[in-house]
This record gives sequence, C-alpha cells and structure tokens, in this order.
Amino acid sequence: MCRRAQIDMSCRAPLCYPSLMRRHLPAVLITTLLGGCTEFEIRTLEFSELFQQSTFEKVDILLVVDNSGSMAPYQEKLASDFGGFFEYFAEAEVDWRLAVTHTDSRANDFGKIRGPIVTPDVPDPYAQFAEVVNVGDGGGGLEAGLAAAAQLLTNERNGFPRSDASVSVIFVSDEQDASPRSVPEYLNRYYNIRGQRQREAFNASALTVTEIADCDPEQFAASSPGTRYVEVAEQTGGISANLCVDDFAQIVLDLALTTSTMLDTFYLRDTPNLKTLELRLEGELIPCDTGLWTYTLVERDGALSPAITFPADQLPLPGAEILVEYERGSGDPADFCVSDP
Amino acid sequence: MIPLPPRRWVLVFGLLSCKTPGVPCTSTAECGELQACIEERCEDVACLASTDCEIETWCNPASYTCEPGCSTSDDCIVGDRCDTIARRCVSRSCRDTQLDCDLGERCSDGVCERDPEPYCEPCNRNEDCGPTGICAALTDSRRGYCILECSPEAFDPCPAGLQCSFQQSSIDDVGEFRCIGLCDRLEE
Repeated sequence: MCRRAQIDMSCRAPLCYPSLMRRHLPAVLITTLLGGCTEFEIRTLEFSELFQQSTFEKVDILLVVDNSGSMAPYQEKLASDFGGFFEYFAEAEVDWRLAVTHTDSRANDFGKIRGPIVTPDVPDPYAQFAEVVNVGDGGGGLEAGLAAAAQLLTNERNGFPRSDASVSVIFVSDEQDASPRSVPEYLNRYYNIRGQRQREAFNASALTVTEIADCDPEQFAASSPGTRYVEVAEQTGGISANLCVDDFAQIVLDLALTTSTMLDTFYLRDTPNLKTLELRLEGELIPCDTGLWTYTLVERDGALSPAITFPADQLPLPGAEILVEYERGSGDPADFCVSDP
Repeated sequence: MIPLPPRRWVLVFGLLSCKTPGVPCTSTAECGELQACIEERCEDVACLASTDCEIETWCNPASYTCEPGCSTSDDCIVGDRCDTIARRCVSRSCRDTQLDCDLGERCSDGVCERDPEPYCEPCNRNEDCGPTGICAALTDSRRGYCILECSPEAFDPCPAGLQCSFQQSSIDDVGEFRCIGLCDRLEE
C-alpha cells in the first residue's frame, strides 16, 4: 500500500493583513510530500498562532424597532434593559453612534432617523436612547424592517452611517418582515454601503420571535417568527435572540459585543498542553494569573473547541495582535494556570 | 523606543512592504503590497488575490489582472454562486419562498417564479382578481390591488412578501383570511 507521509512543522492562524501574512508566510504551514511509498506520519507538537482584534475603531449602530400595536411592552423593556449596552461601549475603545428608526412603511418618516443620533458626547446617552427608542405602537401591521434599514443606510443625506465606520443593525420586531424584496437583495444593498469586498464591515442582529413556544399566550397571539431577520443575522455574522424571554441582560451584552465588531473569543487550532500555553498581547507576555484572559472550551458547530477568551471589559484594543504559543496536549481547562506543587 | 499604537504599527509594516519594483526575488512573499515575483523581479501588479478586485471579478494568477467572472462564490454577490467551470456568477437556487423570493413569487424547484394567481396585481374591480379575490386599496393608496383568500393552516399559504391574516375590507365584509402585503412598494 502506498501512503503519503506528511510533516506539519508549525502552524499559524490566518492573518487579516496581506502584508502581515506574507511576513509570516514561511512559517505558516509547511507540508512536505515525500516521494515514494512511506508508512509514517510526523507532526510537530508546537503551535504558534497569531490573531488580530477587529480593526474597526468606529461603529455606527442602527436600531430598527417595530412600531406596530403589539410592541409597546417590548419597547419599554428595551428602554429599561439596555443599560448594559451603554456600559459596554463606555468601556470599549470604540467611537460609536446609534440611530433609531421604525418599521412602518406607511409613515411619512419611514426610512428616516427618529430623533437625535445618540453619541457618547451627550451627558447621558442611555437616557437619550430611552427616549428615542420609544417609537410608539401606532404603526401598521405590515412591518418592513429590512426595507427601512436599506432606505435609511443608503440615503447619504442622513449623514449616517459615517463613511469610515463599520455598520451594525439591530432589528427588534415580534413579527415577520414584510419588505417586498428577497433577503439576498437586501443583503446586497447592505454590503454595498461599505463595498462587497469589505463585508466584515457590516453585521446585523435580530431580536425577534425565534421560538414561538417560548412566548406566553398573549405574546403568541400577536407574534410570528421573524425568519427573515434571523436569516440576515446568520448571513452577516450577527446574533439572533428571542424577544419573548424575560431577561434581556445577557442578550444586551451579546448585542453590544457583536455590534462593536470586537472579538472576545479566539479559537485555537489544536488542544494545548496548558503548562506550555503563553499569550502575548502586542508582544508583551500576559501571565495567565492576571485575569486578563483565560483558556476554555467553547461550543462551535456542535463541538467543543479550544479557545482563548477575554472578559468583556478587558478586550484587546482595535487592531491589537494576540500571539498564542503552546505545545499540543490534553486541552483540559481544569489544568489552566495550575502551578506545579 | 517609543511605543506606537496598533494602527501606527500597521502603517509602519505597510510602508516597509512598499518596495520599489525591480527588486530581485525568488518568491512573491518577498515582494511588497500588490507586487508579484515575476522573472525573479518584484513587479507591480493589479491583484494578487480576488479580494483585490471588484465584486464579480477575479484575479487571474497567470496575468495578475482582475477579470470579469469569479473563481469562488465569494467573488459573487449574495444570491449568486460561482460556476467554477464557466468562471461566471450564476443565480443560486432558492430554498425558501419567504427568504429568497421577491413579493408575489414562490420558490418552486429551486427557482423563484411569479405565482400564477393575481396576488398584488393592480385592479379596478373584484372581477379582475378571480373567484376568491377582492380588489382593495391599501391604506394611503388610491390604487387597487388584488387581495386573495388564504388558509392559515396551509404550508406557505401566501407567496413571498405576503402574510395570511384575517381581514375585513369593509364593515359589511364578514372577513376572511387573506394574503396581504406591501403590493405598492415592490419598486422601492
């Protein structure tokens, strides 16, 4: 039997910048096919992976809030539970703006910004947000959130989004989107804002009815699954969450992280020997016992993947490089940062 | 050394990689941004990868130029995929009526097709809308559109963009489940 011998000498994760990629290319992955028939396989146990935090320093966030008759309780909840969102952005080194619009295509102000744009420059952004997010509940029953976002974001007269900011949209609705065009059509309109080759500069999330079984009878009667909003979220790397849940706290934090485009989780290629695991942030060794980062197993695509995670208030700054070095091992999180007796 | 913020480092790396054309090389990895090692010299090129090109064009590695078409589906707009043999973007099959089709269409055998019934067709009277339809004006709209009955229990009771909901067109109307949508907004 003729088998292929493979030697993996070292591994590096993909980099964001082509110039950096070329700089590291010789060490990225060397795979050698040996001629003839051999019966062995050699793999190195040393890994060196370089990650980079999101490079976007500005983010413009559009909140598209359904203003149909059934939405009043959800708008109150948004106003009262979104504090964590603004706390996150107060800590993050991101220049943000937030605008609000509604979904009623029959209204004269459809596709326009409601009230002032919320920025970190006002004395109490959260209070201003609580005011503008109350879009009312007198809108029609045919909610067109996807069309509203497309119309607002592509109208340059709005001055929003800024030309150098990434764009995040959050759809909040208890019913299916009734915009007349297909979801791919709207995705193309969104991606065209920053260019189709820079799709990472756009994401959308959906706070909608994802599981009707989780809704109480009153919510159930007035709701329908927002599958079109969920599809946009899935296609753009955003998150989807169920509007019917009682507590928005975790959802709000997840939304903040997603909309900021900042990453808190960096997936490793292999399971490390945790005694050898080292992390350098911008070249500086960060010991494991500082609490600035941790090693964990994170569920991804139905399986547990080894990953480095950062707490939400300690994320690496935009563009920061994170170098992780380790030897292959068991990857058991119980061994993380355990000193030898 | 004065520490630079991350963005400045990126700029420094970018400047370092911006090399004068003609520098001797053995591989493209030794050359600068948008340079390729051609006949052992770094030469300026239009592209190194398709991400350097506009959407629906791809980087031909033989000529380092952007050419119409695609090499992978990432080179195509959303809703299209790359026919890698013909090297052109072609429409992706639809999977779901409500997600993938425009108003009034249904996804059938992977293709969005206009429903044969007159959903959302402009009309002047009920007779224009078939046996189960009525001609009605939407709120704030003078024009009439065909609004057809539906069964909420049916799978995909309405074509894309239309919702099966209980409607009364007038006080005298006993009401029926009908497919309603933003019939007058398709061109937006």
